[in-house]
Amino acid sequence: MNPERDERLGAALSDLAVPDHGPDFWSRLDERIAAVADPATLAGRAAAGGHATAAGGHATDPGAAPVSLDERRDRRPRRRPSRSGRSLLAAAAAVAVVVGAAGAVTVVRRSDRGSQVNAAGRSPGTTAPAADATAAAPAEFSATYDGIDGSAGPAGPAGCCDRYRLTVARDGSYRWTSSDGGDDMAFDATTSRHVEIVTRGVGASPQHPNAFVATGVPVGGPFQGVTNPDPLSPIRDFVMALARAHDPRITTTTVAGRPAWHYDGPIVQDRLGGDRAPNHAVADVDQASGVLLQLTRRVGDQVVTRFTASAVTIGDQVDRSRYRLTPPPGSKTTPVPIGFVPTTLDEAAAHLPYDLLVPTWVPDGFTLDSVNSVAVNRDQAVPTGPEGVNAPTTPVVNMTWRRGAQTFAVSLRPSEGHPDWNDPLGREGLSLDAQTVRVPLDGRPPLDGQVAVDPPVEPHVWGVTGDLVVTVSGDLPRADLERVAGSLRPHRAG
Amino acid sequence: MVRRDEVAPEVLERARRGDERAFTDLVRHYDHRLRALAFRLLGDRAAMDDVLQDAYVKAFRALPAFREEAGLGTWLYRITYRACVDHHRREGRHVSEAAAGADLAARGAGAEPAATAVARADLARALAALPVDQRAAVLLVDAEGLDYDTAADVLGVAAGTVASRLSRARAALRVALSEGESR
Repeated sequence: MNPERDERLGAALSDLAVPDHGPDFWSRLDERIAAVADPATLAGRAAAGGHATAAGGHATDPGAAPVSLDERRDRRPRRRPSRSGRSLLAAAAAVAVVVGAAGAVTVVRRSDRGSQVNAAGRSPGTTAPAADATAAAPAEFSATYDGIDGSAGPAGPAGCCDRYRLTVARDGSYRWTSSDGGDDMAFDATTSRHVEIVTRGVGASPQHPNAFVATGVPVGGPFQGVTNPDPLSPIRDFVMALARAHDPRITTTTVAGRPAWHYDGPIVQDRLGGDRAPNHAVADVDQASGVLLQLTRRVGDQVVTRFTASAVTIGDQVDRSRYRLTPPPGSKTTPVPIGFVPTTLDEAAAHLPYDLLVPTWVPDGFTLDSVNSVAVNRDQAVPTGPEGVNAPTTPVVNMTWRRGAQTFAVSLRPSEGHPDWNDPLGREGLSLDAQTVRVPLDGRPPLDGQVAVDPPVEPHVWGVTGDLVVTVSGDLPRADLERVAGSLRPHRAG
Repeated sequence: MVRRDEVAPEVLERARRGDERAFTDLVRHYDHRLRALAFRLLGDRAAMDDVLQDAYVKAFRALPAFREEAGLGTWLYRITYRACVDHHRREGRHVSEAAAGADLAARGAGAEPAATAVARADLARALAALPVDQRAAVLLVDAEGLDYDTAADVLGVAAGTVASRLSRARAALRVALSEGESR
């Protein structure tokens, strides 16, 4: 018996009649399920959930045996076994689902970068002084992180549990290595390849680690099915966005000798974590690199997770070898084909079955970093949104603009006439404080959707305009997000 | 989900892998409860069927992404609730329209005393007159027996919000229930 239930009222309500389905309900459902259950679609659906499958994938390791969903799930250990800990990782994954899909081709043309700079120059944005500090991001940022996870018991964390070393390059490449050798993770933005090697988890050992090799990961992230280091979690985008807007909630501080933006305030509680999921965060973001130097997440007075940087070093050269990680002999390798391939605006515009909408206004100083276009390939379409309820549609385009440590991304995908799109960046368990927006667009139906600047997810605006679902996300203030969205125009090749 | 049986793990796993039959078995397992929620939120059988069709297709697409952090039943409730809210938003339905379904909901299973039928009708109309968010809270907690935390998961709000919605809904329904029974 549920003590919170009004039994008498509940019995009366349960006694109200519920009609049966119409006579063709189940046959109609069978037809609709069959229509979306072709094997190609299934492969993409599986990949979307972070439970990658080799079926339909492009194995990057010729020796890698196909693995089942269960095997994949079991092989990946939970670095942070708590719900609260998972939410940080899930944030990256959920955001990544937005851009996730499969693809085909690549090369970034400098001309695209230049044209975008020119476009921005014609209509320069106003840049907050707060953000100027981020324009000169270091070539390489490295720090040691000591982390604790309070999920072990109600008394909270005691002492230090984990030590990691993080190195981040200006182009978004990173390396994240645990001091005990249990975890090693690298993302190489130049090859779109992400490798994670773990010696813990089901079937893993130092002699036979589990390795996850993700290919086609969009440059600049975010990306689905791939783990992100905690110091790169999306709450940093929220802090940077507020700093950019001179929001009074952001102050300055110093952590590990580094000037940092400081946020101390509420975050949306992950309902799937129950009442013990964190609802408050103290976050310090390095002004130059955009990397979290300190993050404490707590519920009430109880710390759930905390990590703090020390021994920060800044390099003016990028050691590319640092970001290329190869599974050692004896590894059990799981391929994770994400499927994005860099392309150019011209190439994407020429091959997409819809208008390639590109911002004609970007905040001052931002330049086009990459275009990750997906070829017409339904095999690896992925659903998006809370519970993945949005239909998987392809092709998906992801474009990233960067200014120093700041980035924002624009993604496009066909709406395919589905009437009930949910926030593609929405996360299971999180109820964001989102506001309805209608952004007028030249020559197109207005963008009808929502804007959300609510931690711990990255600020974003999303909406549907005619045949397209659009997201603009990143460390931009709300006004800039909407202005970027409102400047979207079809890109014409040449 | 805090009560009732769950589907067999092997059925869930087969459905997760794309087995259409297993998926149908799975949703049939929960269908009565989801049908009750959808009908009482929408007040219309055709709308109920349309919304549940969409909800089940979405669930089929999304099942591989189901992280099992919530119970499967809770997850399906959430998808169904969201689909109902979307339907309300899309159709611009008003409370009075939803109340049109109250008469159907008030029907008993068979012959029964007239007073019982009247009491049921009063309750059905009072339920239909509630705002959707309050209706959902009282249906999930009192009719379906979910605890506050699980209902909060379904509705995407804090447990305290569920409690406040529930308090207002119960106040209205208890009046209708008492008046109906006193006749």
